[in-house]
Amino acid sequence: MSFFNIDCTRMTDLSGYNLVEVSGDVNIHYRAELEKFFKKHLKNDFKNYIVYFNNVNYMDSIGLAIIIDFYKKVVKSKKSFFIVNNSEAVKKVFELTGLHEILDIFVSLEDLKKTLKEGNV
Amino acid sequence: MSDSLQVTFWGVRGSIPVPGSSTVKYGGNTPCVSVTTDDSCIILDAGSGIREMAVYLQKNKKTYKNYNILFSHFHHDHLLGFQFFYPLFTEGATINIYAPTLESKYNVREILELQLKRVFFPVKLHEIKSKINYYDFKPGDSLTIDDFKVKTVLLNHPNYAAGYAISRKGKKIVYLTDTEMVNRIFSKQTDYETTTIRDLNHKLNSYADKLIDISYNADVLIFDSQYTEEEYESRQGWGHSTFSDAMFVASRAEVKKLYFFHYDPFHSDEFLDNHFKYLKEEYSYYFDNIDIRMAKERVVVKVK
Repeated sequence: MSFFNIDCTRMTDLSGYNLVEVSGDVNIHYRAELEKFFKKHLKNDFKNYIVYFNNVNYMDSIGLAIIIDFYKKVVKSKKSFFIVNNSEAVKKVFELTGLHEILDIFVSLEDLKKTLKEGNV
Repeated sequence: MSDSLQVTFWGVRGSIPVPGSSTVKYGGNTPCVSVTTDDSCIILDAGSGIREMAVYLQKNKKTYKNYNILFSHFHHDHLLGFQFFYPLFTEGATINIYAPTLESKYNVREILELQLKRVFFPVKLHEIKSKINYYDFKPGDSLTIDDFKVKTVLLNHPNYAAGYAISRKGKKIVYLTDTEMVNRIFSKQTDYETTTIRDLNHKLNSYADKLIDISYNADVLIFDSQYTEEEYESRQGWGHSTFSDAMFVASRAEVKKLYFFHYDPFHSDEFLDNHFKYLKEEYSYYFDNIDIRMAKERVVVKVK
């Protein structure tokens, strides 16, 4: 059965970063929920964001489009935006759109934290 | 005997078969297109149109050594005619089935087994008399099928699809259906002047570039034309293109002939005639440079 969930929490071990955890199917059927979620976060002051896709089963280009709109706004406000993904389904849509060549994508949260702590991004 | 390539439309409709008085001219069968020579046969998709092809072969006592069926994906409209392709039930016939590995957890054989479970159809896959070979491929792979060279490309559609460019002796037929132009889904905002955003917007056009690249200089391009521009506004994310998307790709790819394809089931003959007339007036530039036609059931295109 199809499901979708999205949640945002402040990261305790990475100051100034919020973790957006997405799980299930990120597709056209959950468009309204996704848009509502990001609209809510756009009202607040922007933080640095890490979007975590490792529990996503499937993402279509509509799902990606909404996330990319959010990304554009975060980048415009001069904050950082990172993606953590090891899901094949998500990888496919990044490859299809060519965005894997533009976005900063890490396979695990640990890898990203390590890179941030070493100051390599 | 002629060695020329022949493209035949057996089903040109998207989503669901729509037989009836309002679809007599263009046809109501779902996708099936054959690309044949005297000796070789490629069949693109097994929508309800494949039955028309099977009946034609039977009536004309025409057989092929191999029947190569290439699926774009497994949504019902592209699959529902499969079990009505009569050579399946002919002892000694060989059917080669090619299909892309998409997001599904099933391979092509498992999908056909599901379709032929007794609850849906009285004959099971293993009871079929012909010899069936299954070939799963990754979109982007190149295939050799008889004396055809086939390039494949991943298409943007819910759960994805594959497109095909079929070449033989310098002639090229391209089949791109069930695809939505990625850049049209993303926000049109261009007020962000950072390099990152400019690069990103530029990158989003690379999907169109992939389609243009695989279609380049094709003799025949068959392209998804499910919606008008007005209809598309409320159908974003449904995985289909518009008539003008088809013309854009055809023009950039400098193809010789473009066939609109995969019509919406709500588009009657009258609607399609009127829309074609409108496109000819509104987009005369494209029509001046490309031979643009509506795909119609049973139309045969000889590629010389």
